[in-house]
Amino acid sequence: MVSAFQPLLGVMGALCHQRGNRGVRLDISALVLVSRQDALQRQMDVAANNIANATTVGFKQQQNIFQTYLAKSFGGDPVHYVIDKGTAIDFRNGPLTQTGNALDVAVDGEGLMPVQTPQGVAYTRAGSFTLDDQGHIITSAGYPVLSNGGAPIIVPTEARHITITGNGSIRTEAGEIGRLGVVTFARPQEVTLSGEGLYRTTQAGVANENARFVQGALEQSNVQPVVELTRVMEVSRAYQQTARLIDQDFERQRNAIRALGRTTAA
Amino acid sequence: MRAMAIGATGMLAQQLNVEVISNNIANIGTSGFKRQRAEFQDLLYQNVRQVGAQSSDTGSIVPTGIQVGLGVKTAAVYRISEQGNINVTNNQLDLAINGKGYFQITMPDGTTAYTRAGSLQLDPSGQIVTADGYVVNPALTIPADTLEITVNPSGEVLAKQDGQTALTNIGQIQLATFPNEAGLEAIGDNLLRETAASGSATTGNPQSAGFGKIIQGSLENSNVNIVSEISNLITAQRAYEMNSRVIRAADDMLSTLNQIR
Repeated sequence: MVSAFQPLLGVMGALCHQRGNRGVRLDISALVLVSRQDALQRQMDVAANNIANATTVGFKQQQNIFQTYLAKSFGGDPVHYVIDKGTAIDFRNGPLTQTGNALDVAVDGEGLMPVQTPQGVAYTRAGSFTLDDQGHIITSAGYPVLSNGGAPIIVPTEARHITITGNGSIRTEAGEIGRLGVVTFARPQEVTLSGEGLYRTTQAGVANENARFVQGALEQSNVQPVVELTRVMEVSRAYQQTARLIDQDFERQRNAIRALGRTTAA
Repeated sequence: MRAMAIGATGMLAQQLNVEVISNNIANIGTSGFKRQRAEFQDLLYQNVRQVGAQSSDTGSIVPTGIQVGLGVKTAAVYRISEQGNINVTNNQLDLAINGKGYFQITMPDGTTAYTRAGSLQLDPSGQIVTADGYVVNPALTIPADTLEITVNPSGEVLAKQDGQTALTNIGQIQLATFPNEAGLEAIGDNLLRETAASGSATTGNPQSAGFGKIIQGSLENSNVNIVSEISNLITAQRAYEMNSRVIRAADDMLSTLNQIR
């Protein structure tokens, strides 16, 4: 039994000590390819989420950030794995569409609007507001929108017309009832997504005086469907390619073991 | 693979969008109809790598985490209470409301419903009723010998009776307003019902503070804008297609996995 395995062990030893004793493992390339496949799956998930939200008001697309991860291999050349470092939110403005609805507000410029949630203040770009039974201006998920002073905004029942001016002042016939706020953050990359069109962060916001409000308009999602669909196809093909490479790598290992095994045995 | 489930949420959302749009288009000729809009939101996110987590002993933190979204959900389908166009019919019991407010209708079960559709009629006893025969509240009975009915902008109903020169005041039409009109529940037949979300009704005379005025001999058209509905329909259909492409691509990837030897 032992003698039957002897040649094979010899091959393994030869492979592991080739290139002047620096050593290389047979299966490293397969592992690198698997890390690539993992990254591609994540990229596919992110693209799918972007496409699913292509018509979500105020949605900001996400992008993957990939990096190489260097790993030493038995004292040989380092091996470059792929790891995904993060998903970044692309805060670029989406296109505005007219709706004519008095409580639809779009922010033209940088920044997020504060809303009150049970978990604390959150922020949104989705300006499709409505009123609740007490006349509070609320988001479509039912959270009160906060003014620049941090208080909920109440529209009196007898108000006939609501006008929202460019600087966010909300007016009825009786005068100003509140002013919408929009804030920016020192480190926007640390803002997290929490669903329902909301963003959260522990940073204190800085009021952005340059942002303009547009009444009767909504900011559409900034997803570019063509780009995302191209990405989906690209990812799908890259995935197939990686699978082919894994296949070929197995083939290479099999051939190496066969060929080298024969030589040593002979 | 999450991409498949994410694509499915996208397709479901767009399907609902098409349904809402088709209902709007179907009701383009319904007087007093208010168009609806489906509102979408991103679903929850999975934190694969938490932003702000400490990444070394020296206190450096992860500047950008990995958050993978799980698709889209419908936040609301709400009515847009924008004023519809006023269409002159010259029918003396066609009443349009220009501005805020709803006619109050007493339902057969005694509850009150609300409507903007002012195509009113008379029942055999001379009472003003809706097209379905439900009584308008406050109840108004037109005398049998009335030649002509006049409803003025502030909702006073005046009858010109046979043999009389002065108009007789029959009564007053009152309107109801709500803090949140979009929160009213539609029950079909152009009728709406008060809910916890709409807030309680405030009644008052037309043309008083916060109420619209009555225009006799006219009907309020639906506020559906056919051009924007059709363009929304096209967008929804294309978005549906795109999501199906994502599912197909995810399926391709899975089948690739299966083919690895």
